[in-house]
Amino acid sequence: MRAKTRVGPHAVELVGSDWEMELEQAAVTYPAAVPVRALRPVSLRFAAAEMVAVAGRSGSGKSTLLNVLGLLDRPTQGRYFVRGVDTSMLSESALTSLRGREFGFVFQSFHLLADRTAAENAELGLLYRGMGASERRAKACDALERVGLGHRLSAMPGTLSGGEQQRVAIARALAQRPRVLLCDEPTGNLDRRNSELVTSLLRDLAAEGLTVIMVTHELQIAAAMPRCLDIDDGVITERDPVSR
Amino acid sequence: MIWPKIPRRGRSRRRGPPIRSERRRASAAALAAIGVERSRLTAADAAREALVSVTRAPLRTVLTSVGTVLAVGTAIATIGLSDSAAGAVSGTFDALRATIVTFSDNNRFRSPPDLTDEAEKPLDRLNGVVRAGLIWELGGGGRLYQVGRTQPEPGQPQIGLPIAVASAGGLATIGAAVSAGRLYDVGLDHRGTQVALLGATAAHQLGITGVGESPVIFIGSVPFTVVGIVRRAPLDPGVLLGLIIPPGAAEVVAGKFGVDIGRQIVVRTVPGAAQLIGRQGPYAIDPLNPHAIAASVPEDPSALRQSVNSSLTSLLLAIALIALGVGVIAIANTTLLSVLQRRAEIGLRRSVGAAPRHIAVMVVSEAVLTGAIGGLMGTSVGVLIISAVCASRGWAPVLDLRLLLAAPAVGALAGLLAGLYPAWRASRVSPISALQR
Repeated sequence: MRAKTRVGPHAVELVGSDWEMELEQAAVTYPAAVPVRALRPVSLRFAAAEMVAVAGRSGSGKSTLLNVLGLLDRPTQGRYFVRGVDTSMLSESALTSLRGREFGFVFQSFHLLADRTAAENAELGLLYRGMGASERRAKACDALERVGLGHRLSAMPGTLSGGEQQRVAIARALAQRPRVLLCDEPTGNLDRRNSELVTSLLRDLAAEGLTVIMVTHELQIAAAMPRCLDIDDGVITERDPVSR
Repeated sequence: MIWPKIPRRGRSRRRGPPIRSERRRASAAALAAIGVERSRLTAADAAREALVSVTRAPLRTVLTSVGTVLAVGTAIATIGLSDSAAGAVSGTFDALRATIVTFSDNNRFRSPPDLTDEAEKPLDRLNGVVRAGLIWELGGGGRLYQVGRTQPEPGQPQIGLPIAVASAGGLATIGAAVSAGRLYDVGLDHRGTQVALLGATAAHQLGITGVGESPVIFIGSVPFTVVGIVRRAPLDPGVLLGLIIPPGAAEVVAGKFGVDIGRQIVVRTVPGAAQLIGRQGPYAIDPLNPHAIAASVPEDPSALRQSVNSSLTSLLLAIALIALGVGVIAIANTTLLSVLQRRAEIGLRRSVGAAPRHIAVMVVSEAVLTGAIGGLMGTSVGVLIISAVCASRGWAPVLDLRLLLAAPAVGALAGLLAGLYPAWRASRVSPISALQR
């Protein structure tokens, strides 16, 4: 049973919740001549410091789920709560603020700004918090230290290896001190050694209290996660820990 | 789910999502309840980001600002060159035309005439007069001109030449200069010495190349010794066609071999003094009867210049505006292309917390900065063009300093205008579609 309260003069629903994120019969359907049901109605809950793998084929709906969880997209049906806040009622601006504070993103293709140094890339998210330049730089340096790149602060992305670039991307997410790290195929462009390095880093971060949700098509990595969600044609099923 | 009920100005009530402002307030309150602050970008950070973007991608900046460089450069060069040319034309105009005043006798048959070389002196004393001089033409029939040292015999070849009478002051006023010999002076004039100057054209016609052998020209039976050959007289080039004699000597032949035509005192003034000298001159020449003297004053050049300048300014403004319009379109086009190329960056910024307004501010700031840089570069190009053209034409370069200071601001304004639409487009980029690329 959840206690409901109304916040503000006209109310966005805020429920008392222990869950970090909670999908309530959420679904995504894209309008078309024949509507595309990218995500079938699903109810999911994610706790703090949880490490979850989302596995599935290409086009199965993994990225759609990640977009909904990261507030980059809204469910067309059902509701999505982040720390008890019903996001379906939030304005676009509030959604952006919540996304910037709560979520960090790591993408398969790194998405680093080519004309910025590693430190400048790492502090990108902090730019939109009205934080002073020196404080921003200090947090970015801490994050780069955390991923083992404290010695490459001034390096341009073009001079970094793939593994280093992905670690800069992780540092960019970490510098924001998010509660949830959403990773979309973070090892997809990495060799085996760098892939293990990044996976190990993500595991450490989860151990430190960060919720990590990682989309992957690599079965080995998915199987090694404490919790695994399989997705096929928009239908999500929780994988039984025993079967893994 | 709790949907708020929003009163609609007391008339009716509706069910459904709250209106935008209510939704914003409710959203802010919900975020505050879980300790999440609103995304914000300080002006200093926006400016720094724009500076970094513009300086780290110099090629993109240069390509984007080409339109402004051309527009501002064209405007500066056009305005500067027109001002410089107008200055040069105006200077010549002032020096040669707008500074000449002529005085003539209203009663041309009065005897003795008011306009004598004595009248030059009070005019010379007027403030603003550079030089005053008597000059007229000795016209009429019955003139015989003969080159030689002896009296012409009846039946000898005769050549008709126009005769100008000019005092020493008159020669100076019309800017007479000799190629051989010298000009006669006040002493020769006052003594009535029968000397003459020969215009270069007339000298060529008579086959006289120098005055070393003191050639003599007879007007009727009166001999005049040629003391110089006049090669130029900018204010009265007609004198080059004939003979110039001093007023003192002219008295000997006037009436007998010719009559006075158009006796006048020509005054050269400093620029801007012609109108005043035209009013004061008659009083200086004949204080008791100033109305007997007619003054011919050139049209006030300031009015003419103002009219010309006004038309020129309108034309230049139109050219500058067209150039600026082209610049704005060029920047807008390049900025829009840049936005399309940077969709992934925009998507990334949106994903890390940048609101659509932050993206719009980023694009506009960069466009403004690019425009200002284009304005500066355009100003430099314009000044270089003006300097080069003026140096080659021998003009004094003229450019309003305020224009130099305003040009970068105009460039920035062009950037602002050009950045608005791309900024709007950029702010609407969906982070999902941008990041999927």
